[in-house]
Amino acid sequence: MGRSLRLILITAAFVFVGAMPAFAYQESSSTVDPADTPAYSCPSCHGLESGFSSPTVGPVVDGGTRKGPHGGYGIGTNKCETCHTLHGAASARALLPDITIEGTCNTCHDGTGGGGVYGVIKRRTGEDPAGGHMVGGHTGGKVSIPGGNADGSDLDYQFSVVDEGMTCTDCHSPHDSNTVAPFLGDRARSSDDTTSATIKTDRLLLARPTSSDTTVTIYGSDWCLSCHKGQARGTMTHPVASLEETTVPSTGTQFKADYDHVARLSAYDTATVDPDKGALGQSNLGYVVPEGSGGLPICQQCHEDARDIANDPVNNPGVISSTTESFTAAVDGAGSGNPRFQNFPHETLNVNMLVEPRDSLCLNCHATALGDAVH
Amino acid sequence: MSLDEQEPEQTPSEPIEAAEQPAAPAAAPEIFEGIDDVDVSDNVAEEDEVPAGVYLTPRRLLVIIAIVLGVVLIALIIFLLLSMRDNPSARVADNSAGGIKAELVIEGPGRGANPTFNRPMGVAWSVRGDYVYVADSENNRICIFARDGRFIREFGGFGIAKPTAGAKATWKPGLLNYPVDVAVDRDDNLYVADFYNDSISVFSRNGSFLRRFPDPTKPVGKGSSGADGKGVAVTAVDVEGDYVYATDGYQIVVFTLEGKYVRQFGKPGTARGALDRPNGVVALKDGTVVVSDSNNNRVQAFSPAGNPLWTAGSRIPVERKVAPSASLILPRGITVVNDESLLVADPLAQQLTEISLEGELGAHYGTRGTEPAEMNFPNDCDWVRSRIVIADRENNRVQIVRLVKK
Repeated sequence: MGRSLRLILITAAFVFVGAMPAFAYQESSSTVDPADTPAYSCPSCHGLESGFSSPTVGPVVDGGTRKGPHGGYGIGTNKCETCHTLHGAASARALLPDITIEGTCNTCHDGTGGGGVYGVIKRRTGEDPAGGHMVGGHTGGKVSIPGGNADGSDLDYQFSVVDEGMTCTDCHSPHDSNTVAPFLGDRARSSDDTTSATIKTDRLLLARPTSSDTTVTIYGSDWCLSCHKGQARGTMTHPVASLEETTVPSTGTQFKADYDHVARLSAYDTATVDPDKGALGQSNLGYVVPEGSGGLPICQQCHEDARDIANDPVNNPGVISSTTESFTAAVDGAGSGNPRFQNFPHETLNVNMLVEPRDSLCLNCHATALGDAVH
Repeated sequence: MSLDEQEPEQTPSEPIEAAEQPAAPAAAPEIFEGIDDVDVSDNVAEEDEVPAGVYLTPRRLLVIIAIVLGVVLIALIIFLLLSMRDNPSARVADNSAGGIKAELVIEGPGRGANPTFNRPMGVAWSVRGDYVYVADSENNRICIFARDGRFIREFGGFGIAKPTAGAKATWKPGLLNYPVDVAVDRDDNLYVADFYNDSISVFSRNGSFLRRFPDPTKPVGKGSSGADGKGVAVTAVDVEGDYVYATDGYQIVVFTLEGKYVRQFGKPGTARGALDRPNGVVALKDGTVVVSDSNNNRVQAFSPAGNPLWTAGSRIPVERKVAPSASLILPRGITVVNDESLLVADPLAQQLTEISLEGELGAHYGTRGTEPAEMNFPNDCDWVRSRIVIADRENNRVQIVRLVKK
């Protein structure tokens, strides 16, 4: 009897010792039974993308338009391995192919493939752009956010990746998770855009960028102000007023009366002039208010990719923009939407990231030479 | 210094027996033992009978042999050092993974201002397969290597042909701005897809600039995707016979070898015959043009006139569940294998995929990783005589490999 007991105890000890590694393993908190998923399905441990099982802010964008590895991680997906690899990754950072976030993004967004191209200005000037939300231009540490404090002063902020300063994932979700609601793009940049006027995009913009302490559901002034809080401190910022005035569309107020004449995007084809908006600003081609702004001017109306809007009533009266100035090329009359050349707010050449410099900017709305109302 | 003069300078550490050899013939030095059974005592006894001059004792023989071996050794070391100097960034490999057997890994020239590659995107063999041409994209240069990895030369450098407003044009003949692909004609001239300069630059194999086309400041044909609608933002280039084939964001543009515009076909979109950011092109001998329709997840073939012939692969749904082995994800650089099939590099699938000349998907090769034979976003490939050179983009290297059965 004693010998059997000793044998049992020894056997139990061996089993216990052999099972020790199991105590060090952290079980997944997922409620998905791995047995119900194909082998090696990443979501079985890492959860599903918003929109599939737990909608948060923005639903997954139109499944027919989203390409590439961003979003769409349903059960059984194998898209994760496009960017991440368990073995042999070049970087320990999220098992990515490059040692930096920016480098990983530029694997595709170098101009030859994916949209949202970065680095164009340097390729065409030889130098990093002086303005814009640069990524990769920092050596790490804190980054100064203009007007980042509520009193309007700059805020020195430590973004998410310490040694990269501000990087792509501080404003974008490469997983299309917790992003803003899809909106009509202010200008066509995708090949699909040439055949459809209804395609929306969320630009993978996070509803809550890294330095923000508020969540914004749509892209517009509020999105910018979530980080640049000081710009919403109540003083007049023409033509964008205060945060309150831009988030609550006015009805019958002076603002409404004035800005209701500003051409804004009502369809994807921005070459179409909205006749209800009167003559103020003429076509304003490519100079539009994104959908969801309530018709009021927003930051992006004046702060955008530097380009010639070309409604120059003084030197070129009666001539409005052509498609080649908003769309960089055309084939058989269809805009190609080549995205290599403009990438606001990352890279822009004008001071304060203004779409046009000096009087040209004002004349986009105050087209006095054409006999429009003068404010 | 003669050998005779050396003897008095022997160091104390040398065997005493050897130093006292003439005076102690009876005690044969140990150093002579076992060397061809030399009879030391006889040699010493006959020493007086030998005329003055060079007398080759066994010890002297050993010294001569030692010196010869020393010279040979030094020469060998120098040779090895020079060889390494040629390209320390190239190494022979013998790994196999995913049906690929690596033979050589080249990580750059191994010298100069940029000894290593920075995201090489395009590769090509010379006509005879004795040289490898590499478009080192981020470094704005073309590098040439011998088939064994020896660095031959590089040329290029950063030059801006189409600056933004207020910036300065710095382009001069031979300079490049993000070269993404390279191809060769029958004379081994190199055609470089100069992406951000919206043109193709042509060089001789010795690096001399020959010409550039199209003019990046003028519209091409019915239109193209160059900045301001001028020139062609070339994403891939191939040469077959008397023609040059270039892709841009949504079409194929054909030129003569001298750069005269011939025709263009393709349009933006997803329909049959439409293209979305093609990044690979190869022309067959019968004039068929095969294009990697990259963002549409497929490869399309066109007749010489531009009519679509067949499609390999299909657009992947947003919620991708297909195995990488069942489709193409982002086909890019493409090559013809032995006039019998096609091989396309797929950076997002991390593999090379075989396609028949009729458009049927075939075997897949490769696996992701950083070891030789593994790949990290392979962007281009070229075949010659059973050897394939791969632009292993995110590993910042090129590999010369063979395909083997998995």
